[in-house]
Amino acid sequence: MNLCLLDWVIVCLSIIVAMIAGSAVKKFIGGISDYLVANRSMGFHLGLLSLMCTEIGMITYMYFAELGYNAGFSALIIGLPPFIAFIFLGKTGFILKPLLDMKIMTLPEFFSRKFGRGVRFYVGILMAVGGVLNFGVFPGIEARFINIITGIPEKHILLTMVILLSIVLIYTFIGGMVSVIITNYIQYTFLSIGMILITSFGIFQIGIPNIVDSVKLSLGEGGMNPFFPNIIKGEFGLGFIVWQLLLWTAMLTSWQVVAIRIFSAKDSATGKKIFTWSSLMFLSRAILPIFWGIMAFSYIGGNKDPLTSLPVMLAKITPHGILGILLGALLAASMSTYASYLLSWSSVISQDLVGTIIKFITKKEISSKTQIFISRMCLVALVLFIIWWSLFHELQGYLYFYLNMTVMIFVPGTLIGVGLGIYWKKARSWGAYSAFTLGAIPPLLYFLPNSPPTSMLGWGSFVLAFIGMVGGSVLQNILQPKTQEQKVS
Amino acid sequence: MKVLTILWFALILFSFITFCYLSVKIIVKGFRELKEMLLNLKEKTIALQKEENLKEK
Repeated sequence: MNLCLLDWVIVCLSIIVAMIAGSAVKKFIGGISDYLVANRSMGFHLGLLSLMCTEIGMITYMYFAELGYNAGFSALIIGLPPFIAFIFLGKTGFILKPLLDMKIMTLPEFFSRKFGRGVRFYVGILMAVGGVLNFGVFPGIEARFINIITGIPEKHILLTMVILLSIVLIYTFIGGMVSVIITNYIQYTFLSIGMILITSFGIFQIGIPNIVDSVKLSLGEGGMNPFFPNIIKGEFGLGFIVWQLLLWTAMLTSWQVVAIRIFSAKDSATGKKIFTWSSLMFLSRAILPIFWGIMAFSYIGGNKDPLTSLPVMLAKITPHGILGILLGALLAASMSTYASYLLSWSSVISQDLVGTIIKFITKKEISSKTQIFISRMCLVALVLFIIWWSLFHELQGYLYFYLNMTVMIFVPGTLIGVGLGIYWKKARSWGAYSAFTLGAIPPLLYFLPNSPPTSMLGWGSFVLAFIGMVGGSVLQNILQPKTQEQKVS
Repeated sequence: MKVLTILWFALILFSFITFCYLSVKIIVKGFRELKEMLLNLKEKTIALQKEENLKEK
C-alpha cells in the first residue's frame, strides 16, 4: 500500500466533511427551484470557483498528463485555444449575448423555438450518444488512478469502480444538487492546494534542467516545437489549432455545465466577466497537468503506460499526508463531476428521449410518478453501461482526442446551428438536420480502424456541418418557402 | 530550441502564478459570497416558516 494510515484518515475526512457540509445547508433550501435561485444570485467569485470545480476531475489531470508525457513541451500548446476562445466570447459576446437577450436557459430550448420540436429531439439523441460515450470511460480511468496511487492491485479495478460509483450515489443522495455550491467550495480549496503542491514538489524533486534535458534527448525537436516538422504536418500544427479553436468556441456555448453559468448570470456583463476570467483559470487547468506529464516522463522514463504516468509519479514523489490531501481533493472533485454528469445525461435520456417517445405513442402527458420512475431507470441503466464500457472499451490514441471526438458528435452541429440560427435569417430546420447529421459523420469515423488524422476529422466536421446548414436551408427555402406569417414570427 | 524552452517556461510560470493568485482571490472572496448567500437563504427559510405558521394558526 502506498497510502499510510494518516493518508486514509485525511481521504475519509475530506469526503465526510464535504458530505456533512452539503447536508447541513440542505435544510435551508426548499427544492430545485431554490437551488436555481441561489445559483442566479451566485457572485462572480463563487461562480468561477464552481465552474472550475465541476470541470476538474482525476480524468482531466490524466489526459493532460498523457499528452505531456508523450509529446513533451509541444503539448503545452493545447492550453492556448480554450484561453483564446474564452477571451473572444467574453469580450465580443458572440452567440452568447443574443441567447441571453432571448432569455434562453438551455440550447435544446433554442432549437425547439427556432427549428421545431423534431430538431430538439434529434439533438437530444446525438447529445445522449456523445455524452454517454464521453462519460463512459470516466470510472475505468479514474479507478486505475486510485489503484495506482493507493497501491491497490489492478485486478481489483471492477471493485474500485463499484465502490467509487456507490460513494457517488450516496454523496448525491445526501448532498444533492442543491448543496453543490458549498461542497464545491471545500473541494476547490483542497484542489488548489493539491495543484500547487504537485507542481512545487515535482520541480524541487526532479529539477528543471533534468526535465528539459530528458525531453530534448528522448523526443528531440518534436518535444519542443509543436509545429515540427512543419506547421502543416506537425501533430499540433495549423489543422489542430483551427479544430481546437472551433471546438472550444462550440463547447463554451453548448456544453451545458459551462453554458448554465452564463445563461443564469444576473446580466450579460457578469456573464462576460466570468468568461474573461475563466480564460486564465482554464489556461492553468491545462498547462499545469501537461507539465506534470512532462515531469513524469523525466522522472519515471519513457517506456511506461503514458496514461498512468502521473499517478505513478505522484505515488513516488509526494510525501505522506500530502498524498492523502491530494487524493481526498481529487476524489471529492470527481464526485461533484460524476454527480452532475450522471444527473444531466440521465435527464437528457429520460426526459428528452424516452419521455418524448412515450408521449408521442400514448398521446398523453406523463404523470410525475412515471417521470420519476423513468428517470431512476435511466440512471441505473447509465451506471451499468458506463461500468461495462469502462471494462471492455479499449482506448486507441490519446484519451484527450477520444473525449474530444465523443463531444464532436453533437458540438459542430450545435455551433453552426446556433450561430447561423441567430445571425442568418434564412436558416431553416432542414439545414439544422443536415448540419447535425453531416457534422456527426467525421467523429464517428474516428472510432473505425485506420481513420484519417484526428485534426482533419475535427475541422472537417465543422466544414461539413456548415455545408449541411446552408445547403439544407437553401433547399427548404426553394421547396417550402416561408409563409408571410412564418416570416413575421 | 533555447528560445522555445524559455517561452514554454515563461508560459508555465505565468500559469502557475496566475493560478495561485486567482485561487487565493476566489477562495477568500468566494467565502464572503458564500456566507452572504447562506445567510440570505436562512432568512428566506425562516420567513417562509413564519408565514406558514401564521397560516396554520
